Amino acid sequence: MSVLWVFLGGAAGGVLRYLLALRFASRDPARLAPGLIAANLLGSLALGVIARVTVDTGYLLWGTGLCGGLTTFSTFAVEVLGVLRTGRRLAALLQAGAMIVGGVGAAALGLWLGGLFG
Amino acid sequence: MGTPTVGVRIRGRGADVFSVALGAGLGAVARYGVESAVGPGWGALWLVNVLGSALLGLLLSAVTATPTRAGDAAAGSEPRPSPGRLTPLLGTGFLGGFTTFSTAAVMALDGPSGVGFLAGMTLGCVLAAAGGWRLATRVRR
Repeated sequence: MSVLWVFLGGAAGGVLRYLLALRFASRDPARLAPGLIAANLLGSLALGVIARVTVDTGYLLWGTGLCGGLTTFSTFAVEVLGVLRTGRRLAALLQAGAMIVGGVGAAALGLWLGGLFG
Repeated sequence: MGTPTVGVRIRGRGADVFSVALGAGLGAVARYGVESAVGPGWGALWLVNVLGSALLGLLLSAVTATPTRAGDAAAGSEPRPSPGRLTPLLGTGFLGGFTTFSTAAVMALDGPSGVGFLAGMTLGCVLAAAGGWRLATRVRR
């Protein structure tokens, strides 16, 4: 059964990420796609909350599944590579750093918010 | 192409949405499988994210003639040759669902070197994506 929850959550998260990518696409190769940034920050915030308020099956559905499927590292890596290919190394470094700091900050905020409810 | 609403765009992309859902669901299950086999932690995350990044670089290089933005490829912003039809299922879906950022962000809060681990993972994944990209480029020649 646990595999089913991960599948359903992952499918929903992936579709949400796809919709964000469509809605907030970018044509500037020197910038990370806004949809990707939104997906990773939103998912990190949500996982912080979920890590506090769910256990077992709930975590598999909402955490491993939904937040895991909503956020992505592979597209992040390819997008950073794309910025590097424009020759703007500093821009790539700064944007990757901002994603990391922003993601960790969002997760910390989520854990704090979850602690209020948990 | 202007900025039509999501609803308008999606209507013509029902098959892509289905492909993304199926791929992402399977990708998440594969990630869960790795976590269950290796045990949750940085090791499993490294494995999943580095492998997924290399494969995405490989895939996108294989389906596009020129370096592209993954978001644009995912959005299918322009008509692509038939192999590009695989991108929603395998790229946006499976590899997007297989790799994850949120778990890494939460784990980075564990211990003083967590953010350093995440930065190192980012470097590793970018290098892996570049490696995958070059591999596909060489094979095509």
